[in-house]
Amino acid sequence: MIVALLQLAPVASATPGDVGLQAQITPAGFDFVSDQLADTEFSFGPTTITGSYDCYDTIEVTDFNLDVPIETVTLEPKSGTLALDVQLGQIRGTDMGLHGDSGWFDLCIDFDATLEYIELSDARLTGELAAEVVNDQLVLSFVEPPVLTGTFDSNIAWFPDDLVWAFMEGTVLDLVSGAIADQLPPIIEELTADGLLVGTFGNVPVVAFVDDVESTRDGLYAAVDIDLGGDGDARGKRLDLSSSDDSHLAVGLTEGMAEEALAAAWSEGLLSPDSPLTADLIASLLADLGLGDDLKVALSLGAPPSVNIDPDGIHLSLEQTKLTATNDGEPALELVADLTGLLEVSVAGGGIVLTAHEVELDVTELDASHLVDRDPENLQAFLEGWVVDAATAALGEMDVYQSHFEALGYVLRLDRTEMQDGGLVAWCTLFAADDPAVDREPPDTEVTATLSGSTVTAVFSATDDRPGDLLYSWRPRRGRLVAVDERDRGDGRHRARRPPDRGDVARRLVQRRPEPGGGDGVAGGPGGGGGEEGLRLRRRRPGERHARAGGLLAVLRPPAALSRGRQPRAAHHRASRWRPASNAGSRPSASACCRRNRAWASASSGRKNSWIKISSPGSNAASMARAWASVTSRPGRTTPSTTVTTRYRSTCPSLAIASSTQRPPNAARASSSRASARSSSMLAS
Amino acid sequence: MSSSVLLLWALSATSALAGAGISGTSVPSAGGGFAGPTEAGALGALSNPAAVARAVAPELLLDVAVFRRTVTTDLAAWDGPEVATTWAPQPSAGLAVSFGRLGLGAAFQAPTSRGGPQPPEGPQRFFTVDSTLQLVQGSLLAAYRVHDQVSIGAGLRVGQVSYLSEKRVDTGASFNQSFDLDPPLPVGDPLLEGRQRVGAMSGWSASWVAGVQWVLPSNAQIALSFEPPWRIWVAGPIEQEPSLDLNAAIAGEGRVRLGFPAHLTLGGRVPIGRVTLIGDVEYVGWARAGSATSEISGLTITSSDPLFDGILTSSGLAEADFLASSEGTTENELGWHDIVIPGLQAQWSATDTVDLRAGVWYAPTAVSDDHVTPSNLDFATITARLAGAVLVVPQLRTALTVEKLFVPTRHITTSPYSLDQTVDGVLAPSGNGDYALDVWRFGLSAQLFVR
Repeated sequence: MIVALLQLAPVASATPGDVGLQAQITPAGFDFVSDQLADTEFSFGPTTITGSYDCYDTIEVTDFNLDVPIETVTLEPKSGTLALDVQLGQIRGTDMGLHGDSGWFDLCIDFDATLEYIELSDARLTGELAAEVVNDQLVLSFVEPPVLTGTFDSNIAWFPDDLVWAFMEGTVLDLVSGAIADQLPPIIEELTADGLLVGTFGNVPVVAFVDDVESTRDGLYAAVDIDLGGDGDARGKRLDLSSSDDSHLAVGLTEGMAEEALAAAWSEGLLSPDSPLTADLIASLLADLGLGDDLKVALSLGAPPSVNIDPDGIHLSLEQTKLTATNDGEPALELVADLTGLLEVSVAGGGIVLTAHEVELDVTELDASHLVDRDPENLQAFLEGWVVDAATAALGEMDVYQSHFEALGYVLRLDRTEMQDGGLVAWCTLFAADDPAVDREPPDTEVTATLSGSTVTAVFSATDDRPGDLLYSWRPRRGRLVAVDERDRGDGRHRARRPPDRGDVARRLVQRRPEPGGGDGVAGGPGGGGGEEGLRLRRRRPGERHARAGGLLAVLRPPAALSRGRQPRAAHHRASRWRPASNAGSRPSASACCRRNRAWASASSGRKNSWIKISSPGSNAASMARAWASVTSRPGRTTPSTTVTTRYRSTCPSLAIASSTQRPPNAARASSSRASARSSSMLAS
Repeated sequence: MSSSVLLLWALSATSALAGAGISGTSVPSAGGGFAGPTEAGALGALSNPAAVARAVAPELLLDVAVFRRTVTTDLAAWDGPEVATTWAPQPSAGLAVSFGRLGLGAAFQAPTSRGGPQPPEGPQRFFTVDSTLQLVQGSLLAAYRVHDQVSIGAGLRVGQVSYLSEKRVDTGASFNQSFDLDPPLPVGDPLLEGRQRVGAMSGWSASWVAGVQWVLPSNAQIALSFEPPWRIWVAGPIEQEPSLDLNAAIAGEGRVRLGFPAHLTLGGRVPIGRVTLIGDVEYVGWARAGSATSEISGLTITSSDPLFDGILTSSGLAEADFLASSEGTTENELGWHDIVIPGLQAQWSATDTVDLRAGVWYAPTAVSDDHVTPSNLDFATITARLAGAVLVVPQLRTALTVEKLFVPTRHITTSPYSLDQTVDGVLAPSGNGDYALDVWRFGLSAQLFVR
């Protein structure tokens, strides 16, 4: 991901672009990139290199090999370029064959020798990187050949080293510096071989065109055009991606891009009643409302959504939205309306929070003859009034998605968002997959419920194996708490990816990838020749990207390591569907129930302005009402030993309480390393 | 939801009892202008069973009276006053036969026969649109003259109550009381205006009555009678439509235990020539009557539209838990208090066959300002009576009575009621406003003698 953005960061263009997707790597982000490249190693060979030197027509080195350790990397954005300073460890090659041939008329003596080892100590490579857009792709290259310095040493059996030095020193230096110069961009390219911005969105082909870049001391800015379905560019104004905090990366989405994405989704039927997106949404809502299986609701848009973004938020307009409800196949309600609203996207408590304001519904057609026996004017006014207000409240600070993603071996945490004139900007911090800050062990959670009068108090407490910036969490979803990944589990559509370990980066650096038909980047000796087993750097051909899938969408997959939530156990009491307002790693079964297992509750995590309403699903009006439950929270780091207190209020005449403690199956593993405790309702950010 | 629904039903029953039953009923007017606790024979049988032992001849009293009541309600939160006039009949009859010192008798009266239709769109509609509360009671009486001057008597009372009511309900307000909705449902929304009907409930019960009359040597009299409070269960169908627009209604069975007050009456009379001064003091125990117990059962929600009914069934709403939780028993208190009504009459016997009577009573209100609503309404009254009787023949005496109630308007400014909150279980709009009452009573009676 990081390096992918490096790929999007050529320096050649002087004019910033105003296109759909914009990104900027901050100096802090470059520090992160540098950290990721440090302490890695790559190798050459074994291969054969040939050349000529002095009186020798041919000097050939067989089994040429080098191990090149990278100790530190410093990337510093400057005005127009990126300064690169690589401190290399001891470069060393061993057991190579050396052959010199002076030809028929030369006085030099032919030789065959064994090069026991060559070494380059205190090696350092410096240079300035630039990038350019070639065929709508980014090509990263050095402005001038990088300078590699170091101390050369070798040991050649029974042969004067001077000759070898004269030949090998230049060869090795040229080889290493040339290789680094040639390899860095392909390394980046290789890491993004899945096509970060190339793939499909539904049936819509997504094609990214890098448009403009700009390097300043504030970071590296890149602008990308994303053409959805080839129906034109999505342009917009330049967004302010500057950062005043420690975020690594800023990503901006213009309103034109957002509108084109929604238009593409609409034209491809993704917003039609039959699409899985809307069908799942409606089915889930109906299930929460407990209205039975016979009632079917279909929702469709008669026109593409319209989007306008300004500092107040995202002004969304859905015209000719049609809602049809049928019972056992017979139409019960048909409604056509124009819906407008202001959406605010923010990050709080480890989630992406969507807040709706100024929602207005203008019903243009209404057929409710089966429900009302008089003029439906009152029903229409009610829909346009309270129902809209209730929906707005339900969307008030609704946690719609986690704010951390795992892709390409990194965990990206969304720090904050900002609405600007013409676009939405998000700032992110990146973590390596093996960063200790990434919590992958669910905590033990204990829930105790007590009854006092008509109030049930449920206390959730959890112990975890470590503190950190990223916490294991449960996420609320439509009035109940679910695991962070529950929405993606069960249908197999999103299979969690194995997080690559740190070694993957190094392995990719030295990966041999024979290029059928020949590659266009070949490292060779001074003579320009190269063996077939030599280092080949693969470049993706322009047409290849269209065949790739995933891309940017893959980034939106939930992190596998943070997704170990488990489905509710069927054997639990019915009220075990209730979820704790904690970062529980298991499904606590504490609950308060009214008779017939129907109950409703409001809950507070104990943190200021942090509360959760939850309900037990069921086919009654109480559940219907509680289906509008909402969640609010505030960002902030959790502290160890936080106890989350939840208070259920029940209006039922009789009340029963069940409480228990449940440990996850891997609790033993978790508890073995448990050193501190914490509990949080959200993933802290 | 449970408590609110329950309260709604109960409130309807109790408040209808209050609105229809309490106002203007404190004057002992059964039997006509010449009846009373100190009277002998059938004229006294309606209020004191000891009177039947003092019947000079077997006699039958028939009285037909009618109330004309005009209530003007001008609620502060609604536009314009609402005027409703109702005519309420109040028949009564008495029978007295003496056998030496023993007297037997019977009495029939409708001490409570109130209610009537109100404008369905009027400002009072959330309290009452239509109501009827009728108590008919019959008594079998027996008395004994333990001394020439002292008679004691007792009777068995059997009462039958008929009750129905209809009013509008604000479903939004009632839901807000039970559910913590965000945002709360709108109050006063036309879609959420529903209707509640308590249909033709009826029931009966039995009680007793006792009394004593003492004739002093100077022909003055003292009389004391007591009727204990009694409660009568009534049962019948109930129905609530959450919205007048929607094709859905909640129906079930309801029972309400209505309370009727105790009466303790002390009367006296002093003849001075052709003039007789008559005084009485009546204690009415409204406090114990100002409560009702309600029981709700068998609630289901259905629709007349087959498709909508299918939705209600398939979704489980038809047998939703909130309906079941709405069933049960509840008690409602309306904050009534006991009152004492003093009265004074003067009778002039103009001839041997013609009597004229005038009287006045003062009755304080039994409902304090903070409990007044259009359905829980009572006034302080000054009742003026004029009556005349003529002995047409020795076997027949007729009488005509006219009463006028002078009622000061009530200016209510401290009503705690609000659709945003319940007060003592009552969920109703504010009762603040002006209430006025105008009452006339006209009565015609006939007294038949066997001699």
